[in-house]
Amino acid sequence: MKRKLIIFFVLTLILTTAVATAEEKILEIGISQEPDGFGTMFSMAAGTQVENTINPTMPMLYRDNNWDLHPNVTQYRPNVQDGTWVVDEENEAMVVHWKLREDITWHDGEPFTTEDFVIGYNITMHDDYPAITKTVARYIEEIEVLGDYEMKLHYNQLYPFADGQVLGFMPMPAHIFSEPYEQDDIEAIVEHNYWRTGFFGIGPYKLKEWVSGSHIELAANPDFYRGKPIIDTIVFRFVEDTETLRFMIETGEVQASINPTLHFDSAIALQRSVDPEKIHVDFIEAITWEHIDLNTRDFEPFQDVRVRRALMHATDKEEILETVYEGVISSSEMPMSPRHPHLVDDAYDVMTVYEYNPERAEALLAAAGFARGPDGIMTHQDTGKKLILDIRTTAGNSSRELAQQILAQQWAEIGIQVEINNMVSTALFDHGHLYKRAWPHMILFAWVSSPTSMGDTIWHMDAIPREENNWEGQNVSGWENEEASEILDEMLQEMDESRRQELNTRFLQLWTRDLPSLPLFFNLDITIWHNNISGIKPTGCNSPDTWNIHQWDIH
Amino acid sequence: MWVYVIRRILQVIPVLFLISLATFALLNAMPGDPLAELMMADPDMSEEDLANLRRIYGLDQPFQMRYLRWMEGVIFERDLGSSQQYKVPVTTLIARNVENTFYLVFSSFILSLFVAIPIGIYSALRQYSLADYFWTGFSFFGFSVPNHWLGLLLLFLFSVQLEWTPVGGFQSIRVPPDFFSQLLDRLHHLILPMITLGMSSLAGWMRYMRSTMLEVIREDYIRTARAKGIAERKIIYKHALRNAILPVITLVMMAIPMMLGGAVITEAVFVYPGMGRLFWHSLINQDNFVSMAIIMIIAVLVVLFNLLADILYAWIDPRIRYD
Repeated sequence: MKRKLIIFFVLTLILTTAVATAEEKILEIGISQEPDGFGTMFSMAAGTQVENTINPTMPMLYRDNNWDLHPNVTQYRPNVQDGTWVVDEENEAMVVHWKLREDITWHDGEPFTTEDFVIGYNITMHDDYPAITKTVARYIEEIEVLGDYEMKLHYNQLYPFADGQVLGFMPMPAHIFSEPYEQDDIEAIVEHNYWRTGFFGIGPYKLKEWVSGSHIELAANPDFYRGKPIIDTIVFRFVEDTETLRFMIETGEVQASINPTLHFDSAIALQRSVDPEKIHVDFIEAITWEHIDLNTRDFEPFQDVRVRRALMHATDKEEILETVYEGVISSSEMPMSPRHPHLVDDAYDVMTVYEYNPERAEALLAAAGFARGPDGIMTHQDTGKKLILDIRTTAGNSSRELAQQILAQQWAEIGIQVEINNMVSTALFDHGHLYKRAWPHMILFAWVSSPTSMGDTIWHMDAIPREENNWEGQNVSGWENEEASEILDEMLQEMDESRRQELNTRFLQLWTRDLPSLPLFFNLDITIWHNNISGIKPTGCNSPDTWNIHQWDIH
Repeated sequence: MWVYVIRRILQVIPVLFLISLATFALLNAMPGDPLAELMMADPDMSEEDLANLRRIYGLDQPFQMRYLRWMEGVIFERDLGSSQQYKVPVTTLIARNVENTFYLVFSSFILSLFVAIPIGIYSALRQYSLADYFWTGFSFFGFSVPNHWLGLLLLFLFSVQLEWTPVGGFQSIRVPPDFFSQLLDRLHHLILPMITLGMSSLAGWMRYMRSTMLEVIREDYIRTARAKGIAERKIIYKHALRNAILPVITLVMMAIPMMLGGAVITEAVFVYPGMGRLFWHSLINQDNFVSMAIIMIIAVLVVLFNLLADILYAWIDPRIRYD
């Protein structure tokens, strides 16, 4: 009898374990970077994706795949109409009234309160705390605490995204950081294990293990305030070599891969080699703008808009996109993503479009004083200078290098000779090169933007790098348009979105008319998953694709 | 002998100082600004933010000041500086990665040594045989094939097609916690990186061993030994090998620091977390204190293994004395 009982218990134990193991849902996700850490001191895309799974990187509002915004740790989205967002235009100041959800706790069980916001703000604003950016936090004058779950943020200037789209700092666990902050021990805060292997937050998953160079394992947080996660365990595996990552996806060693992931050519190769019923490769237009900046400050011919327009008319973007990106990407006529909330249909009616037309390009060059010389190269009739253009991009970026080759052929047709002079990215983007305009004519690269970007940092005339401003500013092509700069100033302080859209329409009209840069296309965000995974909805912007990870499932 | 060793170590100090100065200067002379690149990726970052970060990381200081501050930390506080990227002391970062690289380099070293030496001897003793031609061809392949390509080829064959080995990493996510399961899992992950990293050394040593052995077995004293009727096995292993292996020692001893260099590519292909990968990251992100520390570790290893080779020389060859 005793023996039978023992056998019964052992069998029950084995069965229970087997059932429990079978029911455990584990998802392994491959990413091509390892986060360097979590929080505002770090900037890697991989860090943002993983961090958002543990602790929301957009705490007040989160953005979904349609770029719609929803309250996150807050009870509502503030607005001017109901008085939760008070704008004092006369004094250029604002107050935003927040009420937090009261059912949120940190993963260690401590309540999540306004105190965490205050300490997060104070640490961010400390002179020696190396936050990547403090720009928006600097707009905040004071946090007025009205209780554990209620506070008012006082702004010292008008800022249209103060409704939580951009907070400018992150709440931090006060029960961890109050003490070192009060002792003014910023070094202890910066080097605290919290930002790495000891990281925790309020998100859908808790950090279980971080094996440096290998993976991060996360366990579901059953108390997550937006709903209990369906998948029990998420493992992010760091696979920097994209060919190895491709093998891992094919063999099922990882079942999904989110940004940062395979390059376009690897993703296309994967898509071709696998059964689409088994693996889905998703391409979504992102907000990284590939373009060619023209050095309009130092190269005289580019100061003539006819020459710039001629280059655009001589560019067959469709051929480039078909050859390099197999037609997956569509071309762009302006520096703003078609998904940007400020871009409305009116803009398409007023902007100038430069269709591919080599004859028109030659006519424009002729009007600008150029004619073909005996060698076939366009030569200025007065100065005798030939149109031989230097173009640079990041060496090793095969897509850009191929695009360059095609451009060289296309421009050769209208008598423009191109000299390719590529450089490694660190050298290309070196301050002494990019901002001091050590590139003589043209530079091909991409700007990353966000749904809240308005282009002020790139197109405002005050952002032209000059010797007087110590070569600071990102308007590297040197576009100087007073009206456009005034529009940007106004947009930065305009609370009404429809008015911002109107202003933006006029801005794009001016931009496409002047054409300070040659727009090419917006890059793609690539996401891959095995078809037994459901719920993955990439955002295609800098908001994390893990915004709804608690709803992902494995079938 | 100890006097000799101490004298050699003292000679090393100015060498290491010069290496540190040259490395620091070269790393700082590299084009590019990792902080300025952050602006490309973060649309909210302003010029003021950039200036603030430069001040915090001391990048607004002149080169000589930064070097002196680093040197002061190394000498007086045994502090190699902090990683600008990871915001932790460099020693913590290296300690996290050194163990895995040790396993990889050591296993590749052992594999290369125990395969290359016997095959080198075998090829020399059976010169122009079919086996000799095969191993000659194999060693040419081993020499010429780039690590990255070989790694991908092995991955494709053994991981993707045959599914015998894992695609990457150094351990499975879920392994029973007992020692043997852990050990087997780690070894399973180590097979392909070990072969990839060891291939060029293996090929080189095989050829070197073959040629030195061929040279020695044609010497007069070997002929004399044969004339005296000493057993062939004794001639080869007691007389010929002892002399033939002398030049190989230097080569083998210097291979360990060289393998650390090779680990950069191997670790990247096999997603193997180690110092090689850390070094690669530190270079592309211009995390200069991390690069400095790893270069200095390699420099110290070069010097140490050089010394060790000299000591081993005297141990194997009694004609050599420390004067």
